[in-house]
Parts: sequence; structure tokens; C-alpha cells
Amino acid sequence: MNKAGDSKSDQGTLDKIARQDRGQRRRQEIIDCATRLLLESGFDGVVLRDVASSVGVQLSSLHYYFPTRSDLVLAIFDRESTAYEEELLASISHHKNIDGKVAAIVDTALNVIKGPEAKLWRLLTAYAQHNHNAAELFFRENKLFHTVTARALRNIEPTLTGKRSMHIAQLFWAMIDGLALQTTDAKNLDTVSLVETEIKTTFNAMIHSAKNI
Amino acid sequence: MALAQHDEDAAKVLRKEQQHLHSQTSQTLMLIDDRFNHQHAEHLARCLWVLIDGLTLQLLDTQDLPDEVKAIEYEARVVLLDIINRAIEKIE
Repeated sequence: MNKAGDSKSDQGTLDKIARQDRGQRRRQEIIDCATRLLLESGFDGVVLRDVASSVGVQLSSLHYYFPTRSDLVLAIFDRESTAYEEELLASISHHKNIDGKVAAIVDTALNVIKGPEAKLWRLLTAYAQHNHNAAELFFRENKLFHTVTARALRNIEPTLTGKRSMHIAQLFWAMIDGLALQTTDAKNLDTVSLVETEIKTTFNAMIHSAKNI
Repeated sequence: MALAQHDEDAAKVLRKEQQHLHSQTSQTLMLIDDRFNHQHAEHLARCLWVLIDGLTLQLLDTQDLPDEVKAIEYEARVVLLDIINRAIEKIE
């Protein structure tokens, strides 16, 4: 191909990348807006028409990214679980010994329930009690978190079986979820820190006892 | 619980119910071992309810097989006993 042809092709590739970037940014804007609405008004507050108007796009354009409301809600929670996995892997990689890596798992999970996104999980948990679709999303996201945690555990301690690491991950998240429900009460922060210490001790004990089985 | 995320009155009811359960459990713990002081028993009760509340949510997943649920319940029992025994060891 001649130089003019090469240049045209390069420009085409750059245009395509720029379009993809714009699309990706727009997608994130839509998810940001829907997350805000969800936090402000609960699941009933996430109305596609309102999201489109708030982001400044046509409803048809929003449908291109998210054909249904369920797809948009799913994207909100998938972004959170993906962020958790990335943070967990980065956090674990900063430590060399087992205890440090185990502490990294606990701290990353505690960060999830201490951040503003914790309210998202509490809302989903509550909504899942009486809405079938929310319940399915809740179990799907739960499984994702358990699987990521179990995988991290097996990387840290290869003697753990797949089943055992899933059990430990499930119990670990039961403690974290239970704590998340109780942290709605800001008056009890001193007790929360004691419970955190107990979770760390218990999690360590579970892993060490599992190694001996 | 759903309402408590938006409604302060519902949040108050949720907190009141949680406090009631914590208080009942801490009294039971003090009956089991009278060396537990009130504050210590309250903290321990709260730890136990953190696990039970979280487990309740997870066991709602009917996709889990009965054997799987039983295995998790067994593990949870071990963990709960471990937490109580550790607390008793600390005061001995």
C-alpha cells in the first residue's frame, strides 16, 4: 500500500479508537448517573427516561448502551464487583507473606462496606427480599465475590481445596455482610472496630485450621 | 431493612430490633459465664449477630444444594463456638 493509503488507514484506526473511547466514556457517565439515582431514590428511582435526560442523551441512544433497566442495574453492580476484584489483586500483590495477604483480603472487603458504595449493597440486599430479579442479581454478585475471594485464598494457600476455600469465602462474606447491615448505625463505630478485629482473627483462624485438615 | 435505607423511622425500628437481639444474647452469654462483664458480652453478642445476619442473607439462595447449606451451617457453628471460646479464654 502507498503512503497515502497507509495514512488513510491509520486515520481510520484512530477514528475508531476515538469513537470507542467516547462510547466507553458515555457508558460510564450513564452508569454514574444511574448509580446516583439508585443511591438517592432506591431501585424505583432508576428510570431510563430520567437517566437519559440527566446525562443529556436521547432515550434511543441510551437503549443502544442498555436495552433494558435490568441491564443498566446489572452494569452498576458489575462495575462494583470488578473494582473489588482489581483492588483485591493489587492489595494482595503488595504483601509477601501469608498473614499480610490474608489481612489484605479482610481490609479490601472492609473498604467495600465502609465506602459510599456500601449503600448500594444494602439496597440490593433489601430489595432482593421481595423482588425476584433483584434476588437473582444479589445471588449472582454474591457468587462473584465468593469466587474471587476463594480464588485469592487458594493462590495464597494452595493446600486449600476448591470446596473448602469456597466455604471459607462464604463465611467470610457472611461476616462482612452482617457487619455492613449493622454499620448503618453510626453511633456504634467503636463496636464496629471491635467486630472488625474479631473478623480478622476469625478469618485467620479459619484459614489456619483449614490448612491442618 | 429495605425501608431503613431511606426512612429514618424504619431505621430506628431496625436499630431497636437489633439492640433487642444483642441485649438478649449478651444476657444469655453472661448467664453462661458470669465473668463476662456487660460491655464485653454486648460486643461478643454483636459479633455473633454479624455472622448470623450475614449468613441469613446467604442462605436465602435456594440454588444452593441442601448438603451445601448444611456444610456452611456446620462451619458457622464451629466459627461461632470458636469466637465464644476465644472470648472465654481471654478472661481466664
